[in-house]
Amino acid sequence: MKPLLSINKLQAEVEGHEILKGLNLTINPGEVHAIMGPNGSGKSTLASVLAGNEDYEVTGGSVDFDGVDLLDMDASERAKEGLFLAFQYPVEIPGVSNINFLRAALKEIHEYKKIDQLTAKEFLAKVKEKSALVELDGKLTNRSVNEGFSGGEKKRNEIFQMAMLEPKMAILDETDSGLDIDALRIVAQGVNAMRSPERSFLLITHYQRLLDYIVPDFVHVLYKGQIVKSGPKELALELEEKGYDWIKEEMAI
Amino acid sequence: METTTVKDHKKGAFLERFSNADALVNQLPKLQEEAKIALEQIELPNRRTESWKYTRVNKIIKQEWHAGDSSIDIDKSLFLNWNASRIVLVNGLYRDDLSNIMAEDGLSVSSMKSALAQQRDLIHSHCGSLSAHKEDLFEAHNLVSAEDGFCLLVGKNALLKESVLVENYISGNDVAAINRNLIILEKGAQLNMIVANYSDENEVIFSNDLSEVFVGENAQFTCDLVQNHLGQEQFAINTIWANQERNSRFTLSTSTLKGNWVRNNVNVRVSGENCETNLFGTYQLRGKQHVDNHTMIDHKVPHCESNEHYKGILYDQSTGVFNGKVFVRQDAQKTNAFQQNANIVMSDEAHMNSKPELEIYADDVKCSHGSTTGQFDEEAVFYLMARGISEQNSRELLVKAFIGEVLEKIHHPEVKALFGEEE
Repeated sequence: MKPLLSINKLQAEVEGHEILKGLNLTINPGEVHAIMGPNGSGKSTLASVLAGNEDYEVTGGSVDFDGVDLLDMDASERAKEGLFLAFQYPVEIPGVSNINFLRAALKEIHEYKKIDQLTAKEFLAKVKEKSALVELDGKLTNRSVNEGFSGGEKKRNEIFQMAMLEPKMAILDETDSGLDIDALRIVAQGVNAMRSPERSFLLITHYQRLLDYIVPDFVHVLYKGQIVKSGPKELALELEEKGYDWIKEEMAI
Repeated sequence: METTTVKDHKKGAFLERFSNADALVNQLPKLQEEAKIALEQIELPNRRTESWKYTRVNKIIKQEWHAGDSSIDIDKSLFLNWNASRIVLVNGLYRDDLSNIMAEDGLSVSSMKSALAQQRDLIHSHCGSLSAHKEDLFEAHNLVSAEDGFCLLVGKNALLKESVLVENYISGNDVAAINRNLIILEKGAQLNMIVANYSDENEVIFSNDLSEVFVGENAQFTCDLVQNHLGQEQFAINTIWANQERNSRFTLSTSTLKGNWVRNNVNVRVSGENCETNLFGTYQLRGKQHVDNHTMIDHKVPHCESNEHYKGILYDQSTGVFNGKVFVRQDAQKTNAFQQNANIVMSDEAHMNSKPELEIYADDVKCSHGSTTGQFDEEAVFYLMARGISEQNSRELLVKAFIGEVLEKIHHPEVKALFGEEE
């Protein structure tokens, strides 16, 4: 099988500090990967670098995304190629309505892919269907992006946007952090509904709990900017139970 | 001593250019005397003049202005499909041939010249009764130089269905256009209007436009002011003085679309209880544009509300000024006064001077003011781009959103459309 995403010896720094130090990761179509790791190991940096945040400077390595050189594109082109990032801290954008901005995004994506534009009716039907998926109130979909949303609503809004844009690959950056169990269940239900043999997920999380709801195919441990251990979903349980010290000890040997 | 003489000479030479045998004020001796004294006493604005601290007038003072040809044809309207009443001024003079006043109950419009001839008492009792020609050099200058303008009266309980469009064209080279207008809403009257000021590219002009607006008891006045001065050497002073009687509403939006040097003075005296006052403004400045919005709301009596919201974006080497004075007098208990000025500075070379000034003498009031000047929210740009929107479109979307909060307050869809808003 041809991998969807292959990250090869990726190095990145922010403000002169090297965070990713030669990271390798391959994700095949349809797979769900989880990345766990202690604070400061580089999890969110990985998400930001992949999505094209220019605050981070890539200093080495390569990323192939479904046959294109991901690092050669800006954030908007990456999204048009089918990469999606659910933000750890979704940004509030007063004055830009959720609906209008998704319409603008879909319009550009359809232009890019040279596929027919949705009619207004099709678009609204899609909004209705996808917002129901994450139980997002119709009022919220019409409001300014994330403005005045609760923490849980913001995260559900991220999943709603993902469902609207139907990416090939979604990165969820700590989407579960700070969610109560009901919100977590709704988020997971949204993600699970979107799982398909073509679509892959990269879940970045601190907590094994998420993985009870979204069961991963692989779990990786990120430590000091590298993936130091990979395993089946049981690895997450082991990490939950034993913490990261044993990994650090293994590393030291 | 020498400096004073030089300044006096400069001021004298400037004022000399505007001496006008046909000025309205020649028939208003009391005002003429007041203005004359003021012009002798008031110094040319300089950096130490508080109300002109950030706005330089030297170029206006130095230039050899002359009156423009007021009989020329004009074809620059932003409202070509307007089919309600239209008032047209060219180089400061009212143009009967271009104006088109619909017959509507309660609406009467004329030039100031003919109003002075035919409604002498009305002009005498209103003209100059609000303006600060005793304190401000350019207001005094307006009073002594203005030869014409429009006089618009909406009679008692007349609710005008159609809006009135005022178009004020200034054209020519080294042309100064000075006009003075009266807008009077009698008790229970309602008037919506658009005022558009234009000047052409490649022309050097100076305009000093002053309107006094009388909003009677229970009257409703809404005005969208649009400024579109296309040239690089153009100086526009626009002054509005308004007085509100009880239970009235005054709403003004100021959209500076283009203008190399613009000074707006908006002053509202709230004289009656239970009034509402709304002032909105937007500016998007590029190149070396300089736009100065000075506002003043004077709450004299209890139970009134004012909302003020100005938003601007400054690119390149542009400079902006916002100065918002709000007085809440001792008797003005239960006043709600809200003022906000927000700016985004897009370049290291652009500058914004924002100064809210609240003077509150009453103790049972709700007043708030805020002034923010910041950079573009790059996190928001990244967020939109991460959803597939190009960088340019993301920035445009955010600019629109920022200004949008004020744009949505604009009354007329025709004016909103000038910003490319879809209706």
